[in-house]
Amino acid sequence: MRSKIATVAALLGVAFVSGACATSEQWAEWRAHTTHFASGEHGSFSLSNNMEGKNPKVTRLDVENTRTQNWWGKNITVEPGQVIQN
Amino acid sequence: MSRRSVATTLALVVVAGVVALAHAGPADYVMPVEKHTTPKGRALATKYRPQLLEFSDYVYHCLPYVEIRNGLGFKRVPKEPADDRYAAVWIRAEQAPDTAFAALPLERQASAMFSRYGVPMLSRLAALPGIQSDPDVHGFSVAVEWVKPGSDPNRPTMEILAMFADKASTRAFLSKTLPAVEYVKSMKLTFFDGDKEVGRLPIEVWDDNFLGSYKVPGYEIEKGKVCS
Repeated sequence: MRSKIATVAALLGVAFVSGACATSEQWAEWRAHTTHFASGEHGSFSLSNNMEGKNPKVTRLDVENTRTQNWWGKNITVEPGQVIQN
Repeated sequence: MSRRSVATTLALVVVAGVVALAHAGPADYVMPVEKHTTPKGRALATKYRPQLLEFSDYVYHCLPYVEIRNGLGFKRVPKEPADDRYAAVWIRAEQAPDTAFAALPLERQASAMFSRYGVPMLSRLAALPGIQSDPDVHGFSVAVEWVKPGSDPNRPTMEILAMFADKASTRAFLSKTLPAVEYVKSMKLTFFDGDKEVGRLPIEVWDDNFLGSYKVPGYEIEKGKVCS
């Protein structure tokens, strides 16, 4: 029984990791069409949330999910306390 | 408790965690009351929670390319002993690489980001009902962060411009009775490049109505939400 629990826990762990990360194809697609818009004169927003890339409809939840996947603690930045104190 | 119950509970906890991670909502961007480190901060966070939630809701639904970071709340200037509380928002402005932006000198980049994002956030903070007349609110703070142009896309370097200003000068600036150059002089301003504190930058502030006019192509706002 203990091994079954361990197996279930392992499967859930895998499900968690795969659920939190996009496939490599989706990553490539995402990187090719970064979510955001330019800060220059001409704004553009190209979140591609459908596999066909035609007339994409973007909901706030799509943005949140993409953001969660992309910003997984990888950036170089200061500690928040250096910028502002709670 | 049986082992089966333990496994079921474990599964439910993990699933709940995944769901919570995947569906952060406006309330998740407001700093919890208990995270404010002084009684004054906690009292303000409690008093203005409805206004902060409304602010967060606006950013969440109306500005999907902006993300509130590190909790909307009532914060302090780092290392200052006084418990002066600032209505504070820290935002990440998400933008695609842009050669024109990258070619600008650093001060112009920071000026552009503050003019585009910082000023509208400041304006909205200053308009929170009750804040202007509250003696416990010392001023306003806005931090804008963005990806440094040319940084490694796999490990982006973030640039952050953080400002703190008192209520009177902010009110005067927003009502155009204080010139922007004077307002900038009066504020505490710090720029961070990645993990380094650079210090003050000579920024300029100009009118930029981008947030008020830009519509994200294909973006479908949640039913019942109104952006104004």
